Amino acid sequence: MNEHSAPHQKVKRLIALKKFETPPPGHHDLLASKIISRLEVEQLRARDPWHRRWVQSLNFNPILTTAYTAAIMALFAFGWHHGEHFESDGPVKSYGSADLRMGLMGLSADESNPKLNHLLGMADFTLEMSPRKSYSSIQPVVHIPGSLVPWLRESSAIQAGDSLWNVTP
Amino acid sequence: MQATIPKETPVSSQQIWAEYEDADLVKASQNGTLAAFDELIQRYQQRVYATVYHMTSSHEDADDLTQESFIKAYNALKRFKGESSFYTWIYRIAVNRTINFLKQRKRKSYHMSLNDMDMQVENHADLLMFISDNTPRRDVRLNELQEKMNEAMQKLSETHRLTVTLHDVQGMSHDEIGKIMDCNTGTVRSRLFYARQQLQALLSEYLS
Repeated sequence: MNEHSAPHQKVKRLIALKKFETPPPGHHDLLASKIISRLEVEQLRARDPWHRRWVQSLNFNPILTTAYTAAIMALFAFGWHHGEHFESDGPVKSYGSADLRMGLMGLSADESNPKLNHLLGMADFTLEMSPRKSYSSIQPVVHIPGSLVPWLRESSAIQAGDSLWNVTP
Repeated sequence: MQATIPKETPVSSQQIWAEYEDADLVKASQNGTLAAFDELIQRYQQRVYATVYHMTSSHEDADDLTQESFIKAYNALKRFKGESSFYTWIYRIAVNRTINFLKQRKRKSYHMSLNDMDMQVENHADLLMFISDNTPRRDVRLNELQEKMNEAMQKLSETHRLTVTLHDVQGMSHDEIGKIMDCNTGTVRSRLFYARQQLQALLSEYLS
């Protein structure tokens, strides 16, 4: 492999002519300015608080912008769809996990009661809300017939049908 | 130069930094002095741009990749320990970035956007040797030759193209190329041999 062989010398001289390909005049001055400007912008952006950087990232990243817009639109659609259900006449049934309902019912104070926990954990509840009555505040009332917990079994404060939330295991 | 390095200097006072060596400029840049890094850009941008341009045969791509390479270098400057020269280091960044770019570009169609040939080449002895015969219009032949050379270069593998660019166009030594490409000089010589052999076949009409 003799890299200095005669035919290769000719190729070498031909390829060397490529060094005469030069960018337009003033290109290198402009290039240096572009690099420094971009670095200065980066440094300024790094000093911004996180929420401003997030907003700026939306401007520069079309994929992120589209994703966030789609997520917001989905949330609006979801809210609108469920809002319509609440305004209709019929009762709205919703099903949720026992843990969620425990939180809603404010039963955390009785978490030490293993029987209650077992009952709530195992039961398949149906929660009902009557849309016809207006309430000044949310007052979840739970009635579990045959419950081991007296105040759940004897819903003395409310009459059947008046309860905001009827829970049937 | 062992002079004290000013900590904060506006970019406009470029003449101050022109007197410093690379190592001092690197130290100042590591402390966040953009003016010092600007001087490093001024020193190496032409060579970095030229290498990337000959690798991509596109002015726009070379412009973008050169910018990105210097920005990446600035952001990674804290990790630069000075084991190699800044010159070798920035070249490595640019070369790796360009090779990654070319691998992605292989999957897409692209067109060459070539820079103009410098006017002084028209009287260059080598050019006259290659295109003086049967040339009613030399400028047409010159453009044609430029396109053929770039097409031939694009047919080489990235490593062969880089070796030819650094050696035959940029005039670097085998040793320097070995440091940039992270290989020994024997490998550089071998790559150069095969690259020239391929180019000879591709450009045979000009070499006969």
